Amino acid sequence: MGRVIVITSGKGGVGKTTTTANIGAALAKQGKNVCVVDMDIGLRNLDILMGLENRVVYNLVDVIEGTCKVKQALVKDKKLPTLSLLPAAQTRDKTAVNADQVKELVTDLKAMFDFVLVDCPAGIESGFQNSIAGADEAVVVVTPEMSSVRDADRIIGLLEARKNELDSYRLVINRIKPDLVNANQMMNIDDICEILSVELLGIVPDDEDVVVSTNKGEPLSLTANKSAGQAYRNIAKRIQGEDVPLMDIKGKGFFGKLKAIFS
Amino acid sequence: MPELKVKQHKKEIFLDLSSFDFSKDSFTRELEKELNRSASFFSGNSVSVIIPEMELNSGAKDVKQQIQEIQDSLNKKNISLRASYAAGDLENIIASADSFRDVKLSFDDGQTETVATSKTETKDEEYNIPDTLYVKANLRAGHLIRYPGTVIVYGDVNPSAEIIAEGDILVWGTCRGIVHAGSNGNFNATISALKFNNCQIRIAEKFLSLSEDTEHKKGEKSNYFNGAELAKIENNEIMIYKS
Repeated sequence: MGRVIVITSGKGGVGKTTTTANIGAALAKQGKNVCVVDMDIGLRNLDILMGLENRVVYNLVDVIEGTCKVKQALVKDKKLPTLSLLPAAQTRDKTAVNADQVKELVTDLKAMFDFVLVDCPAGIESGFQNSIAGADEAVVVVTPEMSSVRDADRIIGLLEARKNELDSYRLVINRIKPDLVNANQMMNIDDICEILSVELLGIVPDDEDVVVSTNKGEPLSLTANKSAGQAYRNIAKRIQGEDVPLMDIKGKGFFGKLKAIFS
Repeated sequence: MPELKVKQHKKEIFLDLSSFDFSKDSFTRELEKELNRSASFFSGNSVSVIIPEMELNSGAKDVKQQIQEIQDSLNKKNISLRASYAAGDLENIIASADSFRDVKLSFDDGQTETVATSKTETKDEEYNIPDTLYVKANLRAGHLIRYPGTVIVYGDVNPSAEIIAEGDILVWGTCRGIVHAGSNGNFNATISALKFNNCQIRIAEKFLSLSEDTEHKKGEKSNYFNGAELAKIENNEIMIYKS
């Protein structure tokens, strides 16, 4: 029996989809059978990040409406045979499915995979309610901004209300800019953890390569050796229960910058 | 079809309205229809209502207005409204004791016995509201507590969470949200917290907002050992004292 992990945030644009794609790819690379589910019906994105947009035939709504079987709708990754995508429908909207149907679907997927990662849409309406139906764990993505932290706080409140269904909810702090944190211009990790008071799953530094990899359709965690790619691999390991220390995201400082010039 | 569920916790009676759709105009009509079926039971008592979680946040309709509508409907049936809670928050809010008990009532039109006996029971037992609501949880964004007495929170009150109490408010943690003590006009109400941080304090009709820069210096971690802080009205103004 696999684990269903929903990746959510409340606020849009903090990197839920990127996080889903990268953790999914990292878990698959580490030998797990992984399915990523795009629950953002009507605003489908996850297929692009994984470079699979041309292979989508059926989608999640087709499965739920009985047009096709689950196995027909799953799209296998180009490079990783253990990674599959269940794409969202682009021509429908969030009302096309309900929580019970989603719960049934993820229960089916749970039997087929080690990990089922659900990419939740922004907001706290039906799309969110559908996404957390049937989830065993939640990962809340937050960026070091007050607006994001407040929305995450709201989401955690909603998750807490479902305590008996969720085993755990953990935090990923995304897009930390080390230089700004050092200059005290940005909320630091301690500030965020103090307000939200939930377990920290990982921190991901801001990395320009994320944009490049998004456009290329290759999750960063498969290729990049440093920075964000490494951070996502560490998170994948922690999800599997390994004890990996948090990444050091200190800025380069004067000597580091000097070194960078000469290297 | 929305259904009115009745729950009981200790001596407090809750009307669970979480299956109602607030955004619809027919809401009051549906509520009154449901009340008609069961009103005789509650007549003369005061109850608390549980409101659907989403409605508090949608912003589509003013929450205050919604609660006012509920109150009006209840008053028509000679029932008074004691407090209102958002559905999802209840488990956190009633941290003190055993879980809710569903009250089984027969609302059949044939009614008679069950209703009658229950009615005498409720009449006998005075509905004493506990003066103090003890909340053992962090109040997070969007959580709202209205209470006709004193509220004690064992945890933090996070930004955009709200407490509106007729009595005092005591936060054993950091207060970053909106706290309103003495909401019925009691100028002697006080608010205390281990730390006030970037929050809005209201006592009776007075109002004070604490901005970030006064409290939170560059990356400095909050330190509880500085002692607790107390807000009260002095010379017609809210003052904050450090112990």
